[in-house]
Amino acid sequence: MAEIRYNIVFGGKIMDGCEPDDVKRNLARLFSISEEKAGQILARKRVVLKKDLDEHRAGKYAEVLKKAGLQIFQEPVQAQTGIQEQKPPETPLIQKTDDEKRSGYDGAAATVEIGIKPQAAKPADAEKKPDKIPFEFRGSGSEYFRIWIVNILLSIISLGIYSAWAKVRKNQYLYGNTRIGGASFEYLAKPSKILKGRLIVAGFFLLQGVLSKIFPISGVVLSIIFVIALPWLVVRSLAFNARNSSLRNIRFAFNGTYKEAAKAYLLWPMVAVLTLGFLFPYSYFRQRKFMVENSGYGTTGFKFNATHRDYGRIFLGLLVPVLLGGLLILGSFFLFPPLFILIGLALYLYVFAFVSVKTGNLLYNSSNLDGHRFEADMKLKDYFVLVLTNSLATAVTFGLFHPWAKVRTLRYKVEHLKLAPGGDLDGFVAETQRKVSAIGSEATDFMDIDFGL
Amino acid sequence: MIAIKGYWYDGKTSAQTKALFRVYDNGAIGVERLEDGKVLKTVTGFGISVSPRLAETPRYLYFSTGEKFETEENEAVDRALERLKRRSWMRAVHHLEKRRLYVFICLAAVLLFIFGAVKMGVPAVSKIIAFRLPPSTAGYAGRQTLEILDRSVFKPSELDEEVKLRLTNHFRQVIDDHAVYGLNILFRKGGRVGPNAFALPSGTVVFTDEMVKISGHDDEMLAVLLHEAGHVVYRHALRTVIQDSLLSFVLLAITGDITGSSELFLGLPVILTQLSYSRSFEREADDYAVDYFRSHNISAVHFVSLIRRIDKKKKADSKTSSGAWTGYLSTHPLTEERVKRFEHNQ
Repeated sequence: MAEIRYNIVFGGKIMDGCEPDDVKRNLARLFSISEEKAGQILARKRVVLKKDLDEHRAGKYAEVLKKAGLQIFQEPVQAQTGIQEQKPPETPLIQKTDDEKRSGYDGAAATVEIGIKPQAAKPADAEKKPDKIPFEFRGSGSEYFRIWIVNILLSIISLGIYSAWAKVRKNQYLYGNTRIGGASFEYLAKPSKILKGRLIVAGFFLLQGVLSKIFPISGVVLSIIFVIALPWLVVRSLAFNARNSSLRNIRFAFNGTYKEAAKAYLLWPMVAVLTLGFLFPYSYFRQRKFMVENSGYGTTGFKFNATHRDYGRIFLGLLVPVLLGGLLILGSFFLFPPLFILIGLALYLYVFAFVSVKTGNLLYNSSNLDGHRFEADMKLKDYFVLVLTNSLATAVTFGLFHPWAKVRTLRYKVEHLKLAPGGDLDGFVAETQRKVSAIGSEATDFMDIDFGL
Repeated sequence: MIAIKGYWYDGKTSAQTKALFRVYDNGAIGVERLEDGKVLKTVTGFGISVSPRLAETPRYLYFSTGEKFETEENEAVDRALERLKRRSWMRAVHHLEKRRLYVFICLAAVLLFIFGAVKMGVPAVSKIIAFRLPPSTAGYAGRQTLEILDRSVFKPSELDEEVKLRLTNHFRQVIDDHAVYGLNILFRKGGRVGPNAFALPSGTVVFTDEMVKISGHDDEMLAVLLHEAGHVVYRHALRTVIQDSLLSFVLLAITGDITGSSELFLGLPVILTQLSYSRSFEREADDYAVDYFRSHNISAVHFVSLIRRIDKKKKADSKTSSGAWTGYLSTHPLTEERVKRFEHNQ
């Protein structure tokens, strides 16, 4: 049996509108060869860059190379599988006109074939990724329950001091079991930093308690201070969580400013309130935009292309179920009051599931990291059933089901997320990564605190 | 020598390299590319740090120069650490998490602690706090509550002035005995709350018209007043607020970060606990009334007949059967239980 295999052939031309020098640099980077060598390849009329690939990989290569600015053809060849097929790997190809070549289909001038030397081609092997890479979750509820209960007990015995270590351990379990392409996420926060943050928060509340007793007016002053500090707290917390998350030994980053945070978390919510909630979706959109666009992996920033209309549509879609649910509640209130509590809770969970699924999908589907896209396809019905069963089980077990609920929810979210790579996953962060360590070390001072927001 | 397979990350790029990590018996380390054996890193002496064992999550071996080796071969890593005598106290935590028996012991200990804290700890602590707070807190909270009730539930009383005067005179002794607490009697038409009496933290006791009408003897109203005075003396209103916030604080501390929906139903145990707190306050207030009666040689029989009558009226109104289990869903103890306490204490 022979399946169709492909050679990746460079047809001697670069894509329209590309600078030859840029193309040369891209090629050199992709194959880890010298620019000189890349120049030599580009000077030829026909070069077979990769041989004997399946359709999937060939498509991947062609895409990456086209993006780099090369005109690429995928030439079908008959693969040698078993012994019966004895055709030479390179079958003569029908020559096509230049116009057909430009159309980017399978023809190319059959001229000299110069392969790239084996060692030069090797780094490119790492590029052989499946089309979409799924995120996986490997944790189990019973395993998480053990960690959860043991760490609760240790927190109690240590009068709460260990709770910071417990938080790190629980997060490490959940992060470590979340994987993509053989690599796991890592939670790197130092428990001592978390303890410090908690002590500061506790100290603030204590101070507030004492002050309000001595000077009743201080409550107002402290509230004002809190409002002023809120954007700062938001930025610090987002930065703390991002910076302490890593994948493939590269940390995430968050670089939002106080001013932007103040707009997203104070100004727009206030506007939303003043417009009686009419601008709430817009305020919500601004917060998401602020979060995504200031986040990064290494120094590569995330981009966000959702619009306020997308969010408006989501919250508009919530209107009918909420009105219907409201009527049901009202109706049941007159018929049989206990039922009205149950319907109320179900409605609450439905709204929660609706917002989580719709905004979650939108958030991932509209974010991209330097050409790498995300695909989330959570389903409202599945998620609603999930949160409903979680809630019921947590209720009847007096909270002991909590670890299972957590794992079930996380697994559902993670397993409905895929990465659609827009090219090489290994190389992009490389050149920019060095700057990150500087930011990282700068943040080891007092500012690096987890407020648990 | 122990060889461990995994991924190598240089810390400068996100490049992922399949690699072999070798630990020699003298503690030296060598990392090589799996594909062609190219040496990626060598360290003399065990100069790396290793993440603690955590279930079956991958292990991370960090080099001081920023590189990381990630592996799923937990057993091999543990063997290497054991051989080089590098033990961490976190290993003890892992042992607790791994053995089923230890997990069960931890679970039992946590449940016991929560039970103790909720049953005794929280009420005791809030009692201490409530009695340390200045009385002005109570006065302010009381005025606020009365305003809200007047606006939402109550209507002006339709009782004869004569009745009000008679009752107030009958209460004189009790009011004088509680001068420190500033008892102050008000009458309101209760509407949908029916026959009831309320004690506000400020010392104001509100009787509904319905309550007065249902009574067959002024001593019955005196018993009600004493029960409400018990609430004031023991600062139950304040303690309820403190207990509820303490309770949620304890639960928050135990479960950690409360986010998401499934925690919604953590609220159910909370509500049940709050109701049980409420019932214990009612018992305390009943006991206060009984004590007063005994020390002033008044018979408590009037109070018993009154709550019996209210109970009968409620049952006639709702027609719902109440079994023993309703005790968990009630703010007040079951009537039979209250009556028994009174008769027992006589």
